[in-house]
Amino acid sequence: MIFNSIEFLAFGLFFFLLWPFFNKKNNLRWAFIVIASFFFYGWWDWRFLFLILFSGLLDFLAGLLMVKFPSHKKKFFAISLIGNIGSLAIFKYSIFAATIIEDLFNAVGSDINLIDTIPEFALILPVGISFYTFQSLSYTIDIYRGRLQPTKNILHFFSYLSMFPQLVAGPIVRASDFLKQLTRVRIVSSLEKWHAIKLIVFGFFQKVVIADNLSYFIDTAYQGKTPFDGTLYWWVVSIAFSFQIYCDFSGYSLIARGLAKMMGYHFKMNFNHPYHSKSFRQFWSRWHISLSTWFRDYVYIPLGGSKNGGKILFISLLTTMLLSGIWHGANYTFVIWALLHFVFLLSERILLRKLNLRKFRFLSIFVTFILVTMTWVYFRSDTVEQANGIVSKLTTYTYSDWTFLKTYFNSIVFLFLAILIEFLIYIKKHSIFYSSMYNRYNFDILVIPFCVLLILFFRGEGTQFIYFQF
Amino acid sequence: MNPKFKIYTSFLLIVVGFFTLKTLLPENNCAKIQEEQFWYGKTYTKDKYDIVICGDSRVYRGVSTKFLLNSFPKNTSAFNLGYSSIGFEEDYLNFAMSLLKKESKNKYLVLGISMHSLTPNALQNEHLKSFQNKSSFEIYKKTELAALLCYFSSYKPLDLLLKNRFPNEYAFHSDGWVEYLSNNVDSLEAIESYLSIFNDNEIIESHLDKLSNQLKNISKKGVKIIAFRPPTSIQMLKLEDEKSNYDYNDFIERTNGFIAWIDLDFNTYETYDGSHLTSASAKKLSMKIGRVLLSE
Repeated sequence: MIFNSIEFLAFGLFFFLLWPFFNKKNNLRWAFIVIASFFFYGWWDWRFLFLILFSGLLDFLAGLLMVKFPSHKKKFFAISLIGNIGSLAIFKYSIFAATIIEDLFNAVGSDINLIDTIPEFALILPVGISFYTFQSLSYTIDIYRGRLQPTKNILHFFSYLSMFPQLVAGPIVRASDFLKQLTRVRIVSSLEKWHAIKLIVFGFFQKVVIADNLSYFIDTAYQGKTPFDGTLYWWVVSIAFSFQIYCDFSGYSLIARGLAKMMGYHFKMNFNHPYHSKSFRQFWSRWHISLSTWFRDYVYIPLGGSKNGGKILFISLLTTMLLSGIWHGANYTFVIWALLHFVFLLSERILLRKLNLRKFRFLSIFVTFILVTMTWVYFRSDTVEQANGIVSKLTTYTYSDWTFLKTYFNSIVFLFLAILIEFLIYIKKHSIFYSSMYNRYNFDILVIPFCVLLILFFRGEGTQFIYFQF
Repeated sequence: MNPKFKIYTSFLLIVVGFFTLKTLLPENNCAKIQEEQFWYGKTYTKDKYDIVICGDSRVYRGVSTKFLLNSFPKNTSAFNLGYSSIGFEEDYLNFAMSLLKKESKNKYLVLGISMHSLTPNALQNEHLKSFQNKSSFEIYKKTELAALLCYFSSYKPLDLLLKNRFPNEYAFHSDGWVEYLSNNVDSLEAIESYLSIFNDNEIIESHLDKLSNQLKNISKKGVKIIAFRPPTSIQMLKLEDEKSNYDYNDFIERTNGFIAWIDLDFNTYETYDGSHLTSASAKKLSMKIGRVLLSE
């Protein structure tokens, strides 16, 4: 069930209508969350539920056993790791791994066929598998490290793991933060409701007005179903994709946060206007924050992080970025995307250490955005060859027929709107006058209805959220 | 400012804004929603009929049951069960049979058999399959909620700048007929797509045998089978005969014993794209089929 569907509208109304009746006692509330969340997830395919049940049960039991039998802590932790990473490997990476092995054998002149031997069930990619697996993993890792006490109540655990607003595309919520929240009965104040409404409206606006209206323009370009070509054309397509992926994913996160807030829970911010970043380092502190902090806490810092400098920094950064790339998708394109980010992050550390980016604020924002946009080409392309072809068009001038602006007018309008909004938000954040005017005169009261009317009258074709595939 | 006031004011502004814009903006173009409603309605129809018409796009664009039933008694019912690129395989024929009234004394299966509908590719029936096995909620949404979805359907910026930019080209009738509305002259634009349609897609003898046997068995059950080669442009007819490597008369001969074939003069029908009939020709064909059925 996707947020931008009639099914979800009916589901959401029903859920929030019943929520006050179940939000009284812990077990009742947790049972309600779990049943609703399983219904929400099972709507795609009820067979997916077995995997989340397996992953959840494994970690729930591993958590309890690690505390009960401290001498066997490592064993239980290893079982949890193997179980979670194993299910990810089977369902997400089996084809990719088989392709790599086949390529290696082909390189030495030996022909093998592994892909056809993969069992059919492993070819299905359960929606949001990477999100809930990481969430489940963080639970056992924190218990193993002694930073979290396991919950003894299975409903409590599953309401944390399967909570429907963030189940399929995050934000990746930490057990140490969210399990506690789930034990409290919270009455949502009017102010919180207003904030929740704002988050939901802005989320839907980003998704259905911006991202969905851009998708046709981008899809036709990447599928080769357009007569247009040339440098200018591909730059506009690439910039449009930068905004599509941002608005699509940020939109989902905002809706998820808004729904949680409506229930009385708080999810941390997942996007903080990443295209206002002055560097790649800043970009990663603003983009998909719940994932980047997950990698920071569970991979980058344990590997040594930046404190030791030199080799260790190189290895921890490379490993983190590579894992982040592979987390996004099982394809060479994601590996190259991650490697490019690694190169830019490392270059920044070496070259820009002594440079005060504040002096070149607009230039550094512009350069960071352009480079991020170029890396997105690898993220969006189906093959490395396709991405290389597009990047060469971006970097070597070839003539573009301007008529594409007319042909794709319906999308271009929303690209301008997206750029304008980000620009206005930037001004609002950096101008005290503008910001105080906005708050003093409660512009929200106009902005929210305006966004809702745009959602109602100018939403694009309802498509799946891009990040569901991860 | 009190948050409750903010919530209520925003809600009020949304309601006022919605109805104001609804009044000011032109009517929505719901072509896509109507099209989906049409195909879902066709695939999940619960009604039963005396006459079921089967075939590919030349049939669903070429036969109107309203005109076909012109001279029939009022209680006779008919339905056009055509789908794009349909092939006459067992499941499709069973589907058509399931829509025939059990109690009807005169049950007719009318088959518009184009050259392409006999090919292996057509037997995949991808268009029909794309609507099958949907959840009951999906079916309800596409059929019963279509009017509501149309009311809330969205606009494209260009729709507002250029009024009537995309006038509806087709009318989707509840009897399964898709009527071409435009008055465009015959463009023959469909011809190009047929140039390679028979490449690696030759008609297979064993399938023709199988189909003949299936139709024979149906006729034995008391269902009268009437068939015709759907009229198309002369250029298309020649192209199909040449590229398909198959003599259509061979199929007529092998089924003559249990199928009543309608002989049509293709010169008297007009197409709008070289393949499909114009509205006027579709009505003419429908009436012709109706007369043949009455005489049977």
